[in-house]
Amino acid sequence: MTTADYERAPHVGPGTPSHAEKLERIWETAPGFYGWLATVDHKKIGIRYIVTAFAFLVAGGIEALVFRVQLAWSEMHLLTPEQYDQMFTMHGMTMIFLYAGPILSGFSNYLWPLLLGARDMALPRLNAVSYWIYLFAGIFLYASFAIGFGPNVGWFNYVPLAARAYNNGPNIDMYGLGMILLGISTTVGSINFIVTFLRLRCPGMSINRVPILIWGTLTASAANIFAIPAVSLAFLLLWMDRNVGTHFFDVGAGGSALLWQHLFWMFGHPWVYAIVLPAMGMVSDGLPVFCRRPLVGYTAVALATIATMVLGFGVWVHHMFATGLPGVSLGFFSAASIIIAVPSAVGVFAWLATIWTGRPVFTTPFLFFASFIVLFTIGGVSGFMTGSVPVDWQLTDTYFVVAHLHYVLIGINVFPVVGAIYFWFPKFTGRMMDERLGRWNFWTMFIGFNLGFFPMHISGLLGMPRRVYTYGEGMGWDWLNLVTTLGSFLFAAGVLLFFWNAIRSLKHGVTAGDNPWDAPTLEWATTSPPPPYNFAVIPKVATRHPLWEDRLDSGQGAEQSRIHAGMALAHGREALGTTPVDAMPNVILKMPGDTLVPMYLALSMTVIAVGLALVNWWVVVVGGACTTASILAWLWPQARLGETAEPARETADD
Amino acid sequence: MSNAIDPVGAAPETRTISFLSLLFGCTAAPIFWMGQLMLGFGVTAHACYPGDQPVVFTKTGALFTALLVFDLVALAACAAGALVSWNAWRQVRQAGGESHTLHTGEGRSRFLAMWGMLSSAWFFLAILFNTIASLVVPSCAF
Repeated sequence: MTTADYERAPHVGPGTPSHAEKLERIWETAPGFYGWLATVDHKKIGIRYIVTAFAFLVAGGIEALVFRVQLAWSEMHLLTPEQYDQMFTMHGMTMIFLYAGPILSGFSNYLWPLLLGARDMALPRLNAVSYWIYLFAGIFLYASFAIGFGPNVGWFNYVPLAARAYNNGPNIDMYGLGMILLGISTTVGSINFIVTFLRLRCPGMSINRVPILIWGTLTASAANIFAIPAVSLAFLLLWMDRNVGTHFFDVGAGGSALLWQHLFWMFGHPWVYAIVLPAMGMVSDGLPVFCRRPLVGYTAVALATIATMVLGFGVWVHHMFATGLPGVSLGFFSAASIIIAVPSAVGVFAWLATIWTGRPVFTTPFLFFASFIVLFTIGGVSGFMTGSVPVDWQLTDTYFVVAHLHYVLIGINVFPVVGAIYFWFPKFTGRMMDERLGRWNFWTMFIGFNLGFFPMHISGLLGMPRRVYTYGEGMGWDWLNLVTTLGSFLFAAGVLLFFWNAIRSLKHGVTAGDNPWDAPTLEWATTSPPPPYNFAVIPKVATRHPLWEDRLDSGQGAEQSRIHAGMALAHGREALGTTPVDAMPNVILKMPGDTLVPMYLALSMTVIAVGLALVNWWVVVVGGACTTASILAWLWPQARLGETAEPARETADD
Repeated sequence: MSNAIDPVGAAPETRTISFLSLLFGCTAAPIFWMGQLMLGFGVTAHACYPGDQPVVFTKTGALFTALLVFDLVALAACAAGALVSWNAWRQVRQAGGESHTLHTGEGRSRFLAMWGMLSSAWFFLAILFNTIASLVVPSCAF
């Protein structure tokens, strides 16, 4: 490998069948069980993320249904207080950490290279390790629950309840260590997204031509890099308090319980935005397809995405308004919590204007995307209300807040995600999902959701506190809770219909073709499902909507995008590196192939976590040694990646 | 490599505007907002609760004046960001042509200039809210 290999002028031309065959051989995952474990293909990893996250959604949903039965009427005793505490803690932890974030990682992993006109993510092995750690962290987090010692103090894990004095089982330690593992997974995944954005956009895709989903995931990824260290540190300090004898959160020994809340919510609130912004991006890209026009206000929506995240770092104290912080300090966070409505409203008005000025086609994905706007507005307004300190003091720890957070998280995550599955399912599988079943699915979910969660506003205003395992007769909350429970079961039935539709359509769905929705972005320019190499030649884009250039007025003599002719790049696994702002081609990147090392590394790190949970230093040492060995294997120079002096033996016939 | 094959040419309007000025326009306001938040929250919280017992933090001392001065500087930074961005936008607003649907908003310089103007306006509002809060909210009410 010489420097010239990276800087050579590649052959530019149309993608021929023989070229495609060669690329297929170069990029396809090895067959069998080895290939299943060793793949670094972003599409396979993306699908795995999505399937695993949905599995956790089912687990978290079942937990919710069990405690909704418990709360359906006063004085119910289906669960003991301890079981209830574990159940609602696991529900929150599962939905927020194991479903809502990873499902979006799944979509982005699958779609990013296709949207950007690239062959893969920038760091494929990091992509694989991110998934494996997520999977093992999820299993680890559920292990303590399975043996009856699940975390039981809420997903926010407040001290002193989480301290050894009040919780002496393995549950809190396993929660903390699992969260640290999950933090590593999210961090490396975020790094991968950022590098991919900076280096792998196809030629011509300057930053003003990037799909909004890319902005959403990029913004969330950048936020994760800053937010996750806070919570990882918090959990590490707590583990030390519980096992090593430190006193970071022990008020009696000079520690601070509020320190936990600060560290947790410095992470927690940006995380809330991280699990909605990519979903908002999916709507911004999907909704215009069904309105038959480009998104109104692209520039403002892209900036609103980033501004929401930046402001999102200045609102964490609104989770702590009732903790006794000085008034003027609260004022700063109240101001930010209210002002954040401005960029959110920019998005809402842009989507409404897109529908208003377009020619809407009422397909199932459209229904999910449009309903998201309604639910987001309701959740946003209740959030705006609780951004005001005096109002928050009245509503804190009531069911009003539970209603708000579910409108936000289900409204802005689950509804767009289900809509996005309907939208991109043809690309993932080559088949359409059933429209008739889809409408049943939508209305069942929409009615069930509102029936289930809207009454919580009223329960909260009537004073019903959250996190109680039951309530006394005569409080006036019985009927509201019964309706809530019935609504949540109806919502669950809607989710089941969705799964049924997806599974059924895998075999019986109508064949989709490359671009069944007549959409404008690059992922629809390749086959459904895409080949392992995504694009036979690297596309070149001249506008934000390369597949709509033939019908939108681009002006006489305007440059056109070029999809089916371009750089061939077939000296082994190669991708095109471009400049960060203008996406000008500047280097050829050598990409790694299948390898088991990411899985070994993830497994080794999980062994360390197991050792720390058992406080068994021998297990920790074994895990540490395996981790070191895996990292060495990862970093070992390889000729095909251009990391050795000897040239790789690749044919040069592109 | 780009010189060898040059498959796309430069993105519109990349050379007419200094990238640094575009960057300043986009980032000045949010950076000063963050500064105001960290400084304001940190200083006032500590002033009200310097040790184990809360104290009363008066709004007439040098510390409060310094915070107000920073607020004004932050507002001025937003105005500067907006001005720089507006100036850039005036120079490149025709990039891609006004009348063509596909090219509306084309040109990354114009895109960044527009971002700078919007970002400066939004964060100006956020800084103003914080400034008003620090003036009207009782400083150490617990």
